[in-house]
Amino acid sequence: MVRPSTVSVEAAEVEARDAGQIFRQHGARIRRWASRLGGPLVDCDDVVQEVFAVVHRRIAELPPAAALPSWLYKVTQNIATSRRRRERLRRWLGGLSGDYTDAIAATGPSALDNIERREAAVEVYAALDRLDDKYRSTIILFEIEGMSGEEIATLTDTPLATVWIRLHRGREQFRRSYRKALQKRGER
Amino acid sequence: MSTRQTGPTRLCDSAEAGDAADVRLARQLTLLAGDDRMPLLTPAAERAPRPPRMLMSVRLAALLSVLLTVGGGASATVVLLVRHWQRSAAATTPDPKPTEAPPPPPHAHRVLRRSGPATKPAEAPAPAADPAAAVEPAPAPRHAPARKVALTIAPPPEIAQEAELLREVLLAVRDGHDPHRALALLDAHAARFPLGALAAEAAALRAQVLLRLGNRDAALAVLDGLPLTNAGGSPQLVVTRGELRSLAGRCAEAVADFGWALDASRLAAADRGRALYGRASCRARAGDVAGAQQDRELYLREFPDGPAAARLTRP
Repeated sequence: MVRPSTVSVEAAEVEARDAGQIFRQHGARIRRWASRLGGPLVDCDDVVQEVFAVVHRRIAELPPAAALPSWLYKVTQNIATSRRRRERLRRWLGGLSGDYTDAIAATGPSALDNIERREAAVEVYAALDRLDDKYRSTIILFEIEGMSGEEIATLTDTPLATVWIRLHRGREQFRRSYRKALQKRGER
Repeated sequence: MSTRQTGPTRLCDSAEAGDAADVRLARQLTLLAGDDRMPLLTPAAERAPRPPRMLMSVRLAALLSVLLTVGGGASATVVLLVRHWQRSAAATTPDPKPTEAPPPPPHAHRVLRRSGPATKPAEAPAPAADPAAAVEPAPAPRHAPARKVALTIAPPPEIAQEAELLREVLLAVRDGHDPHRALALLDAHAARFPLGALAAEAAALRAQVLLRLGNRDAALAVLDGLPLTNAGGSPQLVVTRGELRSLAGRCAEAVADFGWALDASRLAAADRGRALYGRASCRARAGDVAGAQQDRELYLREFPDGPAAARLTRP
């Protein structure tokens, strides 16, 4: 007869091993999604930590391996979106610019490349943040993450035609918004 | 990241067909796609000057008002607003100036600033005659609220002037997109501070501005003269120098640069990928097939979807 304490220890070990395996398999990908979906205002490590807290909490009801990336993506997207909104609200309350385009800070005299990266992140995400979430995430996955339409459709559990429509409409709005922000900055 | 391409062309690949804004967007998207980790702006935002307290209060009040009015608590809103404004008015009362405190000595570089209301402790020690004592924080009273004390280093005036000039260079490149003006400013810096404390930083900036102008030879000449591989050197610049040396056919020196950068602990992932790819390419050209193969495998293991993965997997 197996004592209850042994069962719980074994269960805990199984749980830890599974969560560890998931982290090893998907950790890098989740960090990349978190970084790109969250944008320059969200610390991707915090998002990853929260995603794995959800994984731990729901370890018993995780989907099968084939559907796991899609499930993890949805969790990551929800957490990143919620953190992004919270950060924007915090900035708004703090009287800081809503589109954070003033936040490109010089980090040191020999950091020109870093500044260029920061500038790219600020300008691109200022335009992306004006889009509806479904367009925003599709553009991020296609243009920055470099995924194909089929991969996006599988990951987001969406028909391929819908992905193309979102991409088409989203890109129009994205480019319009990007140009507008660029003109605004040029006028300053 | 997938290299498979279906559907419409990516914006970063279709820049030629568009105008300047499209080219800029394509360049920025390529930069972001090459970075696994987005530059985080929150710390910079925290460093930004504090907004006026009144603005914060008004926005917070507006938010509370909307929330509570929707919930049917209009009267509670009024009470909360009044209390909040009273608190913020008390908090923004200017600090009484310490009259007895002696002025800081002119050469003191450590300056202490206090935030929050300055309630002078009743039994504060008398100002010390020793100038060093003037910069030490006064002991907090036993039951007083904790105060936030920020320690800043005030640089000597000449370094501050140099830093200001270099900041103008950065702004000329970043905001003005004017590398020619940046070069003129760097010339002015070199003339004014030939032995300046930030001469190495200025030279590194000059190399990057020259690169932006497409003048690789001049950039390499500047980087060749810098002691980049000393302690405290920028691994990112060393990778850039390695790439320029590789392009100039100086493979042995390029391999040394890439090797140094790969051993450095502060190398960003994207730059590590560049260094591994650069070293693999240089080693292959120099006939070191085993070394090139080792770097190639390392690159593909660490960056299976990296920008050079397709070229390295090509038969």
